[in-house]
Amino acid sequence: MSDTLLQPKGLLITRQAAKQYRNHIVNLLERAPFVIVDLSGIELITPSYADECFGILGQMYGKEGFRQRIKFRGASKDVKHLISVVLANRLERNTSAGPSEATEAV
Amino acid sequence: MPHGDAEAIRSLIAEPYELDPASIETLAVFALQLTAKTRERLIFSALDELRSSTNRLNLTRFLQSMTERDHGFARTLRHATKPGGRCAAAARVVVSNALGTVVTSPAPQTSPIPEPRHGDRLPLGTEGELLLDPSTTSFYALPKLFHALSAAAHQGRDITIRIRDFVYASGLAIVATWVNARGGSSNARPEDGYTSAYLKRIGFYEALEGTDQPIAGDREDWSVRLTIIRPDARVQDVTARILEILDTFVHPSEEDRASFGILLGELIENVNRHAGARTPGFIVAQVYPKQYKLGITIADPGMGIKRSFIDGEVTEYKDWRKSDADFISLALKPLVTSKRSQHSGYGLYILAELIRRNGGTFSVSSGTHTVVGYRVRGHTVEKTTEHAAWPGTVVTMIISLQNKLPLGEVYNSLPLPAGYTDEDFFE
Repeated sequence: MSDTLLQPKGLLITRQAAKQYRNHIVNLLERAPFVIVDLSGIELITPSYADECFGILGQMYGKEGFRQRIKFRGASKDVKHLISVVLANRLERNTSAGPSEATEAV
Repeated sequence: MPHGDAEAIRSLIAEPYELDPASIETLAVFALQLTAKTRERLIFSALDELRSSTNRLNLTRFLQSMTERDHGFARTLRHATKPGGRCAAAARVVVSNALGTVVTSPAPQTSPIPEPRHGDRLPLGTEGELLLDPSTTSFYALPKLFHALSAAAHQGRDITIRIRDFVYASGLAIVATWVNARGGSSNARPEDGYTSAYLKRIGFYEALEGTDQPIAGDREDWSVRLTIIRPDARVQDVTARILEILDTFVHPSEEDRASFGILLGELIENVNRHAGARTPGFIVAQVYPKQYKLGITIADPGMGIKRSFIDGEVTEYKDWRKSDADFISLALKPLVTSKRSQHSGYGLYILAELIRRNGGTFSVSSGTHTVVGYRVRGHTVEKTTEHAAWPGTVVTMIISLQNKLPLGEVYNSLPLPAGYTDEDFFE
């Protein structure tokens, strides 16, 4: 497996776990231009997890930056919609609240 | 009676099998013939050597039999369970069970429990008592229970909880949360053996003491015992146990399994991130096989929903004039959150939508109101009841095991902000 191919598996539930995974992605992105996140092995992902992990990454990098750095693979239709909703809402909040929140959240 | 007989009694109680009642009675009669000093040495060494649930059961029954015959000995045991007394934590549970009471240590810091409002009356019990029965502990009787707790709180710090007839796990989770939050001592007195056995199986005595316990009991009684909600919560353990129970009755689809995980995960996260309480909240689940239903209750003694919004970051929600019911209804809407930088506001919305589509019922109680939601002939119904104040939040749900929990439908009902599509972040 390449350093930049991530394959989370099982139950993605808590914000605490999401925060750790997000930090892992941020560390990888310090030495690679992008990461591939393959979601085909997950059993479930909660909105809280999606928000804490991908939502805040979206808030950090902005819409275009996120698209360039995070490439999703293997997401079901429902998971795809969920992640889109949390990302879009984080980005909208970022527009109204300013960029400092994201930095603090990380 | 020579000292050697005390050793024989102790070794019999410690046998790894359940002793029959007649043997227990005989051993108790023999033990009462020992000198007080020998008898105490026998009992406390047996308590120190607790090894297994069978061992605990034998000893509990033995002590019950002894205390029924000798009230002076009951006083000695009661004294030993007090803070600083001779009993270790595990032994205290056994002794308390035998005495039909649970003595809890005062919490170092307590959450404020509101005084009863003008017009509140003691609906149940007598002074210093709280009476629990089916009519106060069921999912449908939460307002009645909140009134009873409020009235009991007014009577003083030491409360006797009388438990009559069978009781529902839902009410027990609320009472355990309340007892831990208010401190003081609480004595639980079930009025019959059947109720006492259920309280033990569901972990009520340990919950009153605020101690952790295994999620699943020794027997297959289709429940998640009263479990303390902690920051790194045992979400996955609780979810796994519920799925294990469900597998006994139905064959949940992959989507149903995911729905349960997400429901529990989101609600427990809510408690961890919103409640801000110093004392524990509890989750409990119980399957009702005849009705093919699963009941889940999550109770916390935290700040409550209104306070969370008032102290939050969103100016438009900071309106003290609105009632608790208004704030509960607000929290049930998608993407509404009190702390935009930290939360996402999906938990209660997903709960409400999943349960409505399942044909089940949910309720959210916070402050002075409870909102109950369900669906009738395709129409969403929400009913609001006012009651004595509960300082935190209680979420309960009754899930039909015959119907699906359509997670995909609920996810797809989450609105995307204008200008976004599902393809924006996916190639």
